[in-house]
Amino acid sequence: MKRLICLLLILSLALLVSTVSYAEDTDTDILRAADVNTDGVINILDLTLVASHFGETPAKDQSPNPDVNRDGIVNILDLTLVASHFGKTVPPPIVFVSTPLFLSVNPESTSQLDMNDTITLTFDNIPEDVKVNTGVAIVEGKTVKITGPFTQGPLALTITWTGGTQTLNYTVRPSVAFVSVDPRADTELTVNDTIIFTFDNTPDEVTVSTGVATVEGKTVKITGPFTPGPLNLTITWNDGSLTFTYTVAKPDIDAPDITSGTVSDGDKDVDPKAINSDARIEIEFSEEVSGNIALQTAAGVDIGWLGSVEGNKGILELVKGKELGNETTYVTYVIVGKVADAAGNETDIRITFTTDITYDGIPIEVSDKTFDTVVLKSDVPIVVEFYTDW
Amino acid sequence: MAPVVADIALDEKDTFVVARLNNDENGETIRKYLVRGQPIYLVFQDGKIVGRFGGAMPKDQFVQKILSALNIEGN
Repeated sequence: MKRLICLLLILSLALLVSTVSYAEDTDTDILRAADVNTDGVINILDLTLVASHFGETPAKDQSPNPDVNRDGIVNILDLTLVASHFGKTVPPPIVFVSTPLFLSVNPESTSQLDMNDTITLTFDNIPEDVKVNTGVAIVEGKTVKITGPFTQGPLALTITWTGGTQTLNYTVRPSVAFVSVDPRADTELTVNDTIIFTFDNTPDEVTVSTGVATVEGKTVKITGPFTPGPLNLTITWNDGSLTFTYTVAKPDIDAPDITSGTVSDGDKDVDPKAINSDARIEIEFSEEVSGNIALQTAAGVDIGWLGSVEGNKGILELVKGKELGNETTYVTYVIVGKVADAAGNETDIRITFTTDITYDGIPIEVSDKTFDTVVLKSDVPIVVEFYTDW
Repeated sequence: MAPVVADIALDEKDTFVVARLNNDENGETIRKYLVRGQPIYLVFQDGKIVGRFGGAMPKDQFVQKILSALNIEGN
């Protein structure tokens, strides 16, 4: 019975449409609603669909939806709407395709890059037809990785994709190559030595495996203290990493010793003639030293010999007229000075020695002026012949 | 200087020193030690006169006088 009523309604409406004149309706939404079966044409099939659901209350999101006017119930108004647009075609729905949006980039624009860095852009969707003006772009899902090498200097990187374009500005750092290291590898260091690396450009992001690194332009200074023993020093910078081996010597805390010399502390009866003949006194140390040395009397008066310290020797050189010794007295001399090794360990020098009497059996001519010093201060018995020339 | 004195100086160089003073040129010293006549020999030890003699004598006797002044036994 219901079917029969529907059929009658349809037929009557069709008849109505054929007799009713109406204005051209351009409301696309109404047309789409009237095209209940969404086949692009409003015809008898749509009327049938509405009629077959007559009196029903379909859900709003139902498809197909015979409630053409979306008033919640399928009734004559819906049939009328379909009938009023009977025979019309419905323009296909416009499909909105969302364009991928650029979200972020790493490293950030305006930052510095290395020549071989990778720039990663992230989109909210997978970009298509990606092109870049420099480097190589690889699309990995919603990210695009752009790899160099990039040319040193300012970089304006433009990336285009379907529906968008973005320009990013960077500064590409020059590559930094190692040039030299001082002291050279495989040598011995002291605990507090400084190792200096030189590069062809200023390195960045410098780290070292031991010590403290200080970047000063194209050089990097590595300061200790280093642990005694083998040292593998690895320096890493933005463009590379190198390892150098050294041996760190135990710290020198020993002061230099006097190992030998022309005279030794406490020597007596030193033959001054032999020293005067050699015209020098040498003192040898246990290691290389620097410092000063001098020859004095027991009273602390400089004799006037030339003192020098060189290598592991201290040398006193005779100045003519300043010969050692005395014919009738024993003379005490003191070698004084101070030396230090390379580590700064110091040694005070004080070598006291006494020369023998130089009298050789030939009578000594004395006078009023020399009588006191030669005769009265003589350390040995002395016989004075008072004579007159005839 | 008598040759014998030169010989003694050399022979006894390890025992004592021999010195010579010209009286004509060093009046201060000869006055201080009251030297008159010649040759005069003064023996000094530790700055003091320990012997004084003069005149000619044989070498051995000369040495012995010096050694005696120095309280050294002769050879």
